[in-house]
Amino acid sequence: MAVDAVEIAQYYTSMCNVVDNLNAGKPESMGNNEWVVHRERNVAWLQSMVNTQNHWSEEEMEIVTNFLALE
Amino acid sequence: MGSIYFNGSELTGVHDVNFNGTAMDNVYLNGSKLWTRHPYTPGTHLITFGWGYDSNFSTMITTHWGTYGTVMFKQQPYTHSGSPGSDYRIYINLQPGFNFSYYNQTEHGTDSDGQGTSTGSGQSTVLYSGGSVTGATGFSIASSGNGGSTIKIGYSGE
Repeated sequence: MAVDAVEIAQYYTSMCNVVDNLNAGKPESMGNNEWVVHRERNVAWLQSMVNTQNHWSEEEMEIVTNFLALE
Repeated sequence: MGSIYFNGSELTGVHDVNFNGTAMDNVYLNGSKLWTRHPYTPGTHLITFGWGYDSNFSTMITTHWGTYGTVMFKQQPYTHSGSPGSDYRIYINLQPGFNFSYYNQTEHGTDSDGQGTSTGSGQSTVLYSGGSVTGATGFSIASSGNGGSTIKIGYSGE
């Protein structure tokens, strides 16, 4: 099933939110170990979205690729 | 590809084809597979599974593995705990034809397109539960976020 424009926009927003959240650092409510797992999982997800999804067109991806370049 | 009709009805895959009184799983003609019996009607939704923080996923094993067994799962879903107190994880590997048709994560939204969610090739999908986040791998929604998560498993027949 093809991904529609609404879903693509949602995925892109989610990616940007994840970058913002990870850049903000560990929330006080989160344990150190949990933060490590949470961060690793979402970095891997960001990488997979950049590498494997082919539905991007004019989205500004630098916010994601710049973040991943520093990982 | 054409369809196979028997007594005027299309064999959709959920009917039995009997030969000498035995129900067949597959029908071949000259070495080519003509028909495969489906365990469920393609497109059937079978499981909705939601979880929150600090879930040990026991229901997935005791209930869903107990109900569907190796028809749905390549192996019994197995759990793994991360560093002490950090998280619970369960690894789920589906048989061909079954897929994760939906994933919702409270913070990140819903992936309902069924893309990239089949694990029939041997790759496990991992469901994850921590003290303040939940999530799942293999979807177009972030793998970890605040709030609960829900997945649905269905039979696509593909």
